[in-house]
Amino acid sequence: MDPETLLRHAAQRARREPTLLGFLLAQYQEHYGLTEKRLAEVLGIDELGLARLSLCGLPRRTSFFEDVGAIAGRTGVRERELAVIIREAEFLRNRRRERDAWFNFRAARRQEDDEET
Amino acid sequence: MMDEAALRAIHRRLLDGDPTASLDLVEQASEEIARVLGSKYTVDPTWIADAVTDALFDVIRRPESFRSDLGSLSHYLIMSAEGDLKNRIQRERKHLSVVSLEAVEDDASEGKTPLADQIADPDVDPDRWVEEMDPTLTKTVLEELPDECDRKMLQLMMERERRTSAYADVLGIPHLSAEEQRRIVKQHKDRIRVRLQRALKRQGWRDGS
Repeated sequence: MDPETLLRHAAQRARREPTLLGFLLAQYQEHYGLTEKRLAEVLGIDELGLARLSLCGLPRRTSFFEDVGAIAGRTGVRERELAVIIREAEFLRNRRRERDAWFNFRAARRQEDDEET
Repeated sequence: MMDEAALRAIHRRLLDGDPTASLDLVEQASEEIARVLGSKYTVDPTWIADAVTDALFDVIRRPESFRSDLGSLSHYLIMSAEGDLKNRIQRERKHLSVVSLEAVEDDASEGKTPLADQIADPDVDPDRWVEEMDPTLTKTVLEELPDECDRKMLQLMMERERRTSAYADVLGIPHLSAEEQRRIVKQHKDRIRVRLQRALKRQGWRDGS
């Protein structure tokens, strides 16, 4: 198996790996119904570049812009667009978590009510 | 051969939380690990790619799991990937032997399970029998599949999805050639079919009702 195929395979798996950027990008893509090609265009890279970007870790909170700069330097992605997309994807992820927590809370309350009656 | 000094430097960066270190690890190590596994085992290349990715992601996720005082990172990664691959091979072998044993038992018994037999028939379109199954039954068998990927594939089959690309996305192989995708997707569908056959038999489903 050649290195590019292995890299693309790993990048696809990164879409399900919360510690990697691929996970956030996949959620962003899904939310806006973007194809990989379109997302790559927005970020100013090709699809192989997007695969490489997916394998990067998440920028640290304490050095967010510095880390985004390092990722951009390593992958050729547009720095500003990447920062915006990561922030928005994080916002979407947090909102989804809050919504899930709320549904779980409601479901637990309903169950408690059912058991009491 | 992997450059151990370079791998150690990447490992230190992973410990520091450097977000570009994971990409560097994949680019530095995956080809060599795949080469070593490929030279020892003749299996589906995606199994090797999965084992390589699992080993790398384990270290990326928990870099502290590798202790640099106990050996080389390249050796650790190869051992980890090889362990995953061996487990997978064993799982598949065990699975196949259970299925063939069940087939023999069925032949010996009087009561046939037509639906289960139909599922086992490789000439039957694996999508068609799923679509034609009783919805309550498909829900039950869906719960029988522990692997998330298998469940997603079965769901697509139940939704009458015909495009190979949709299944390839679930399997994480959209980058492979169309022919390769078709082959691997068929392989996975066949495997799901066999698993469902076992589940149906275990639950005593007969006459497809």
